[in-house]
Amino acid sequence: MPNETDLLVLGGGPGGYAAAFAAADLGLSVTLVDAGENPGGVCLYRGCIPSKTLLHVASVLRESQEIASFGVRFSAPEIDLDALKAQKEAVVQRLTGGLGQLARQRKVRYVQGRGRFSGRSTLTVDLADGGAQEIAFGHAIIATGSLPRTLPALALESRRVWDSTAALELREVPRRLLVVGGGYIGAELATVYAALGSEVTVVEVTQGLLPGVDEDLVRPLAQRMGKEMRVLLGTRVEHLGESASELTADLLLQDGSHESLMCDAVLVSVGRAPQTAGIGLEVLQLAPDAQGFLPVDAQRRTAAANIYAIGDVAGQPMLAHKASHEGRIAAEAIAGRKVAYEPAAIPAVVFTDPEIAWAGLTEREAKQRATKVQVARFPWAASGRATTLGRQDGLTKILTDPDSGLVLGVGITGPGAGELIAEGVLAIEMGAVAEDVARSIHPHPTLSETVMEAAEATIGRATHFYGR
Amino acid sequence: MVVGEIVNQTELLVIGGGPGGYVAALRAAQLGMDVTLIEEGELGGVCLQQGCIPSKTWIAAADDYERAKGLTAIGIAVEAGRVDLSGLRQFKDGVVQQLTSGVRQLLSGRGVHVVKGRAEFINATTTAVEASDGRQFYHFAQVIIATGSRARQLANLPADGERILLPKHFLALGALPHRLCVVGGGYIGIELGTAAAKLGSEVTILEYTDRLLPQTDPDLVRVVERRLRELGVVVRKGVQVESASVGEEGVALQTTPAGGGAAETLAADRVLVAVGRDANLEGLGVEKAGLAAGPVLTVDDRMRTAAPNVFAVGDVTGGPMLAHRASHQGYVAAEVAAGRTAAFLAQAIPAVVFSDPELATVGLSEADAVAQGYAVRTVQFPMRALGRSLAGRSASGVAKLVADQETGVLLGAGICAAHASDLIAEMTLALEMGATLEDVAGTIHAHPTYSEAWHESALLGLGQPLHVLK
Repeated sequence: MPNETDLLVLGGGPGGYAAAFAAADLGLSVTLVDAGENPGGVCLYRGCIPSKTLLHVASVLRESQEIASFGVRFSAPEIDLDALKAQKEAVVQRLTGGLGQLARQRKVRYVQGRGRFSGRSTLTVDLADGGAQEIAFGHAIIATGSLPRTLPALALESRRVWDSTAALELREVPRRLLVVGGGYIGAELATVYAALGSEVTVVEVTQGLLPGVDEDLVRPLAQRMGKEMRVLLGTRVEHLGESASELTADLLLQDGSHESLMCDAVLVSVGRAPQTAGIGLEVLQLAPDAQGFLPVDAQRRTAAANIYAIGDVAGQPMLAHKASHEGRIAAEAIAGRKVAYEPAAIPAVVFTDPEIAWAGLTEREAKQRATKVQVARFPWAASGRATTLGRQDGLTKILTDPDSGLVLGVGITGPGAGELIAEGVLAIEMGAVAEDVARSIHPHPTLSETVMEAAEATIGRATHFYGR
Repeated sequence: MVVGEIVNQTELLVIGGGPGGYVAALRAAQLGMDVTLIEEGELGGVCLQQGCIPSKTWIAAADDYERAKGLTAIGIAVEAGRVDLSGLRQFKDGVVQQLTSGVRQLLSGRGVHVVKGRAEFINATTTAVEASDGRQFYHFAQVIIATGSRARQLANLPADGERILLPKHFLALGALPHRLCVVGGGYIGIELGTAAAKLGSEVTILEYTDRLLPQTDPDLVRVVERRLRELGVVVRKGVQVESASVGEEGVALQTTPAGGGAAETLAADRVLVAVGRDANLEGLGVEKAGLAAGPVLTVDDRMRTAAPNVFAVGDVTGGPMLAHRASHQGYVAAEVAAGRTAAFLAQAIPAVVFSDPELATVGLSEADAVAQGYAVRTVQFPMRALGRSLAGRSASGVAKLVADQETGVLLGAGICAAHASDLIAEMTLALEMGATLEDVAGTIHAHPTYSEAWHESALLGLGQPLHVLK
């Protein structure tokens, strides 16, 4: 029977396609169901990839102006939005097309449509090109991802009110953009639009940008953002109204005063919610927990023995690489291998300028859990490489266990932090102590030396940093 | 030494204030030793004054310039400004000054006595130092020689600092040469040739052997060579430079094919000679300290020379002539001098070329591993399969891992890609920690980053690739 498959994967994002590809390589027959033309999901179509394409442009735009300090002057840029959009689309098409091809080459059957469980081992797909199809499966992996959240005060039906998906469509560069929510999505997209020429205001309800991230890592970003846009902390949007020509946001500021802020577009970036509605969970007798996540075990198996869940629907952190990792675990578990999801560290990266990346224990968590840690910081002002780049505002820090010296956490702010964190993650996974990192030769002159210097500071022998 | 001359006493003398010497001095002082550092020029040595650091300001500026010009291709029109080399020079000088004064502060903060002058051994426990205010003598219990290396000169291309340049001359240029000829296709020639080409010079690179970066994995070098061609750099391999005639208008280089053949003439405004480096031992009088004169000083893993109280670190001990190797050796020498147990037993010394894209290697190449008798598993991962590469408009490149066939233990890694200089650190740690392919594959790598290349390569090595096929 053609519509029978060993493994059914519902959702073609980085969790789903990683699971499908791994399972196919392990010899299972695999069917991947997603509404998109190709696999990719939010990450490739509406998230990581388009945002990084635009952030790259933003960073080059900034470089073209900052290069004046190197003695090279560029004219003010003129932006052809259609061409930029086409460029971004081309990147997305190439990557998603590539995934489609990889799926075909692996004999993963890709079904474009919306799937809903119709039994314990059947899924009904409303096909994108009309009609429906029922697929019988042995095992299924739910990888339906997440959706942008909104707030009641911002619930205004308007083309000028954007979620991250709309912002990445690059419909226009609004003269005045209000970004509600100073988390990583808000900070990244505020950076993009500020570079493209919008007057940006970021409103964040808590006392700092990137809530949850250690303050010392956020500080250099906050300083830079503060120069390029208006950042209002401890501020709430109480009401959003629209006239023919503009939007008006009523703000309750930190000091208790009110302000009416006029703008041409609003980006709502107040977090994401797991997407489990409309997929027939009730048929499987599964229910999300209070946060909306599907409870899973170490193999990512749900309460239903043949149903697994991975990625944003299976718990925090909602990150593509966590989803991919879970995808492989689930696929291997289903193929009968002995595996478990037990990462010692999951890196997180914010692709702002400077980038911010961290892995393992943060200082904030250490404080909350009253875990005793030794913290060593290396300021990039003492890094030769950072100086040659004209970027001394970075910081690298390492958290270690004071007794054993084990590396527990790494945090980095600065250009390239997203790449540098990989060494920190490996150190944590390998059970490295600070001395292991300090004694590994790091090439000169690179930013990776800051990781070594922080490790050296931990064991009391920092070379390029004098003092505490 | 004559009767009546004042002899300064110091527990540890360090000769040379580069990344080997100053790190040794800092560490020894930190361990409580009384340390004197002799430096003939400026603190920081070649690395900081004439090498790694100043070249990276050029490269950073050239990269920014090139990228900004590239905005036009993605719908953002910018008019490329004129490159004002004096502005770049000012920035570079500022960077060098700032870092030099940083080193000075670190040394004085730790109580290292810094003397400007040129040292010469009198015997195994005394040196004379020629300084601007006369000759002084230093009596020491132990000494660390860290005199570094200098750019090799070619007899038929003597540098005049005007038309025929060494890297230090090049980095001090006030105007960009219209036609630049680089003699030597090693890392320095490629780095500076690439920067000059991006800033607007017409660049030709002449290499004597039949390969650029002759010591480096050709799979990685290929990517750099392709990019050089895109940038309009003419690369000519197997070329021997016979002679140069310097005239009012520039330099005419006479070349012949290395394998023999008809001579050719190549005209350039300036010629950069980048054909390697030689250890600085001239005039140091190491034989008076009981050491054999040779092209380099031989040391054991404690960094001791044949004389028990004489250590040597860095370029003066031979290759690889890299600042970070010197620093680690300096650290070890200081520890041993202070009576601690330490040894230089690096499993892996990373090497980086700041080419476009950057190229970095660590540990064994596939060829080395096979030569050492390993049965290896080698994997290659194309950078264009990563989302980050496409989003960052730098899709060319390749990552390679070499692992032991049976155990999966990593033996070496190489990468030619954006950020390679920073990415190699993870694989260096992996080699030092004895990591296997499984360890790297089981470590979550952030998406979307270039570092995913290691993850994908490791998965590929295990036969479980994600974004490529088996």
